[in-house]
Order: sequence, then C-alpha cells, then structure tokens
Amino acid sequence: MDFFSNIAMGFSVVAEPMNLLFCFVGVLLGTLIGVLPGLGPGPTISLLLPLTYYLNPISSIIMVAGIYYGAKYGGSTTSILLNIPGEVDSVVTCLDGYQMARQGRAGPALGISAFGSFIAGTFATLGLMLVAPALARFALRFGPPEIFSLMVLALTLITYMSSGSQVKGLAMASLGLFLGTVGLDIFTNVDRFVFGYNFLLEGLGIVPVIVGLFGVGEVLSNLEVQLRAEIYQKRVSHLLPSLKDWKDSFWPIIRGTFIGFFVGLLPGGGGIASTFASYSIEKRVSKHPEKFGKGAIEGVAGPEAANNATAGANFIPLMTLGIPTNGIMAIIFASLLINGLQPGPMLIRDQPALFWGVIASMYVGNVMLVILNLPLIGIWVRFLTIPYSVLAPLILFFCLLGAYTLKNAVPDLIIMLIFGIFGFLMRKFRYEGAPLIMGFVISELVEGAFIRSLLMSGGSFTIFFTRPISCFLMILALILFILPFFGKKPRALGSSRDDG
Amino acid sequence: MRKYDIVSGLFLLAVSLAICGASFQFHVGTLTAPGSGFFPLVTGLVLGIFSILILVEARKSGKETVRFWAPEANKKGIYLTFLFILVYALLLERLGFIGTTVLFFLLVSRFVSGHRWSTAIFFALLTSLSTYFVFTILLRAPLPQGILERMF
Repeated sequence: MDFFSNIAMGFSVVAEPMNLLFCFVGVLLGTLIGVLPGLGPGPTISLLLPLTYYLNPISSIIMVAGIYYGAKYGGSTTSILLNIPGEVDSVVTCLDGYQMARQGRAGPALGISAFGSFIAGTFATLGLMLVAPALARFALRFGPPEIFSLMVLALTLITYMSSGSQVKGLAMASLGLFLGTVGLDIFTNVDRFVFGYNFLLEGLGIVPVIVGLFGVGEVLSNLEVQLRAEIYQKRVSHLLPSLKDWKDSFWPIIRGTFIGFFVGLLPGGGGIASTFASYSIEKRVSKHPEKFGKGAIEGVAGPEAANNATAGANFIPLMTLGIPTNGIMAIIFASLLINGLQPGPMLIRDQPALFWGVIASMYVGNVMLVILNLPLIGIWVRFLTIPYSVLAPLILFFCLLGAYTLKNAVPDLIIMLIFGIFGFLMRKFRYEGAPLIMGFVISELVEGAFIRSLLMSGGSFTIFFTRPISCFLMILALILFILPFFGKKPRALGSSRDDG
Repeated sequence: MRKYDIVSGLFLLAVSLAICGASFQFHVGTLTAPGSGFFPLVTGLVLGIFSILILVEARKSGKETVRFWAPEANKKGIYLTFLFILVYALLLERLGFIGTTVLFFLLVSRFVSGHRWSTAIFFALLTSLSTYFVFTILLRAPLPQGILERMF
C-alpha cells in the first residue's frame, strides 16, 4: 500500500506546473544537445548547475534527469541520419541505423529507436522504483568501513570498465580524491592547501572544475578538428515501424532492456558498455547474423533499448548508495549537493517527494520524448545544419557564465580555465575525466569513512576485512584491480566515457 | 603512445611527491589519531604508486609515434581561446558584464570561428544583452556592473 501511495505522491509532485515545465525543458534540452554533436549532457548539465541553484531542488533534479535521458533519444538521431553518434552511447546505433537510412528506411529506424527507448525507459523506471528503496534500506546498515570499501569498489569498477588504461584511471581517481581535500577540513577545522587564497577555503568549486574539464576541454578538442558531415536523408517519412519491424524488434527490445538495466547498476556501466553487449548478443542469437551491419533493425532496437534502460538504472546507485556511476552521474551528484541534499541511503527516507517526484517525472518525460522525437524529427534534423563555428563561442560563453555566477567570483573563472587546459591535455594523453570527477565529488565522504573506520578500529586496517560486507566489497575490488594484469579487461565493451 | 605515457607518468609522480610534501605541512598524526594531513598524504602516496605503474606500463606499450596535434589542427584557435578566457576573467569586474561579454564574443567569433565582423557584432550584442536581462530581471542574480549597466 505504501508503494502505491508513494507513486501517487510522485505523480502529484510532477503535476505541479513548475515541475512539469522543467521536466519539459529538461527533455527538450536533452534532445537538442543529443542531436548536436560536440555538446553532450555532461557539459550541458554542468553549465546549468548555477541555474539550478535558483530553482527548487525537485524542479532542478527533474530537469537535470530529463537532460540525461533526453540526450539518449537525441543521440540516436544523428547516428541514424549522419553516421555520427550525437553521444558516445549511440556509436553502436550507427552500425545498422545509418545503413537503414541509406536504404531509405531512416523512418522506421528512428521510429523503432524512439519506441524501443520509450519501452526500456519506462521499464527501467519501474525497476528503479522497485529496487531502490530496498537497496537504500539495506545500505542504511552500512557503517564507515562498509562505506569506505564500497567507494573503493566503485572507483575500481569505473576504471575497470573504462576503455583506457586502468592504472591511468585509478591515478586520476586518486588525484580527484586529493583535489577534494582542498579547503576547510571538516574534522579539524584546519584549512588545507589554501596557500593564503581565501576563495579556496570552501574548496575547489565543483562547477568550475566540471565546466572546465568537460565544457572547455570538449570545445577545445572540437575546435582542433572540425566535424563535417552530410545528412543522408533530408526528408524522413514513414516513422511508424511496420508489423514485421515490430516482430523483429520485440525480443531485442526486451533483452536490451534487461541488459541495459543490469549494466547500468554497476559503476562504470555506462550506456556504451550496455549497447555493445546488447548488439553482440543480438548478433549471436539472430537467425541471420550476416544482415548485421547492413541495416538489420534488431541492431538498432536492442542497443537503443539498452542505452535507455541504463540511463534509468544509473540513478539507483546514486540515490541509494550515494555512488555516482559515471561522469554525468557525478555531475548530478554535484547538483544534489548544491541544492543541499546528500545523495545516499537517507535520501529516499528524508526526501520522499524528491525521490518519487523524480521517478514519476521519468514516466512523464519518456512520453514527452516520444512526442518530441517522432513528429518533430524534421526540426531536429534542421538543427544539425548549425555549424560548430556558431556553437563554439556560445558554449564557451555559457561555460564562463556557469562558472562565474554560482559564487560571483572571478577566481572560479581561473580555476575553470586551468581545468579546461588540464582536460584538453588529458584527452591528448589518453586519460579519462570521469574517474577524476568521481574521486573529486566523493572525496569528503571517502575521507570521513576512512578516518572514522581507523578511529573505530584503533588504527588497524584489518577492520576493512574483518566485517563481512566490507570484506566482500574489498575482495571484489581487489579482483577487479588484478584482472587487467592478466589481460582480462572487458575491452570489447568499450568505454564508460559518458561525459559527452 | 610510449613517450606520452612516460611524460604523463613522470608528471603525475612529481605531483604525488608535491602532495606528500605539502601534506607534511599539516598535522599528519598517527593511525590511531589521524590529523588533517593524513588523508591527503594517503591520496598522494596512492597517486605515486599508480604513476609508477603508468611508467611500468609505458615500457611495455608500443613505440608507434602519435603526433600531439591532429593534421591541420587549428592550433591558433585553441591558444586564442585560452587567451580570451583569461582576458574575460581579468576584465569582467572592471568593465562590467555587458562590455566584457560583447568583447569576448567579438574576439571569439572573429578570430576563432572566423565570422565576419557584422555577424560577430550581431551575436555579441544579442547574447550579452539577453543573458543580462535573464539574470538580472528574471533570476534577480547580480552580475558585475560597469559603465554600460549603470545606464539602464
């Protein structure tokens, strides 16, 4: 009974005009940036962080979530029509989606990806609703050693699943953990690494760091080499898939939803891992695997469903354990913090309106997205013709505005610039941004759990191995750390670079 | 990639040493009574271990030469972007929001994106004025005031 009253509460929260409006703004923005290559949900959400400061927390999280799953819809449009993934998660959709477009079947490809996304998104939300509260109740029993071990496991997982070197990822995670210690120490009230600069007392701002790393860094990378592409099919018609298309896509969508949901629960389990997994499974179970890569609708339906199920499932570790599973979740984590909310097991209990409201908004948002993406596809296609030379100054300006307006502080602009240069160099030297951001945002939590554990045990590290849950998590982390040295890394799964 | 891994590994090693050194400026304490320098020291040590592992991995990685810049890279655009952001940061609170933003747009649209002056001026005015009004009137968020803003 509790369950249904909670859902009812969620929908009543979304029904408020303000929340409905921001849900719409979120999915609209998400679709837009999903369509535009070179601007992903990561930078967009970080640019909007200062704005969320002025909204009420529920509206802002509803909007931010909408951007995240909305971008997944938009990303497939460019994959199908241009053979350029609007988002990294949509790489797989290029394989068969673009081939379908070349055969004049862009309509059904776009149609099935929108419907598949809708079905998967809806089921993932249902899963989120069922799993999250139970998991949060379980996590409430965690003491400092369990929390610390869980964080270590999360950081190891995110680097294990990444496409690049795991040691590089872990180095970035430790650098992020260090960067998080700058500012006033909550335990001792000592200011650390401030070097007389008072603006550092509150720590390095989350917004300037993220905006620099993802926003500015991304623009610079795009400026270096300009993207140019031809739209294959300017006029798209027959969006509704035929009965045969539906028959071919039914099981791929169901399988994709399940794969996407479970991959999305894991830290580092970004959309790209689940889409590759779905694609390879569909190819394996198919009666005509030779058609894959030549315009098989299953190759669009499965991965697109997986991608959206992952987006929904990504919220579970965040809302229940306080673990951001990828770069974008780290930014959403930051936006919760900015709004004075601590992501973690207490969130569902203390902020039921927020949790259930956001969940209900996902149902509403998914409906909005189908309406936005199918009949209005022509408008989105037109956006593709905006040249990057127009977008670049705008994005840079929003980066500046975002970094500055949160605290009205010029030093934040300098921090943003430094991290912009750093982000650009990281791309050049093949380091990933997600582990750094994740380490950075959970630093305070990790330090707190670590210090409390040591105090509990009288200075002994064995506390992490004598408590069963903590021990299990630590051993899992250790195994994941050692595996790559034996060449056991899921390279085929691709990367977790969801940072757009 | 080997050369890059060695360079970045050494850089991170230096960073980790700096972190460890800086952590000792604070009270590190003991395992039973950790001080404020304790956790930063641990992160520095862990970073050190991983940067050494990066160097070890680099020895195994292939010798293929990867160029830092892509062919026909727009290097000038990238350097200028850094410069213009710096200019924006330095001028913002002196010149005011509208003036600095117009200047920034003019510079970036003209010299990085290569638009005509007329297009650059149009974009500059449109964006700076519209954001100024959104922030000051709709959101009631203060933006730095300069000569231009005081006229309103």
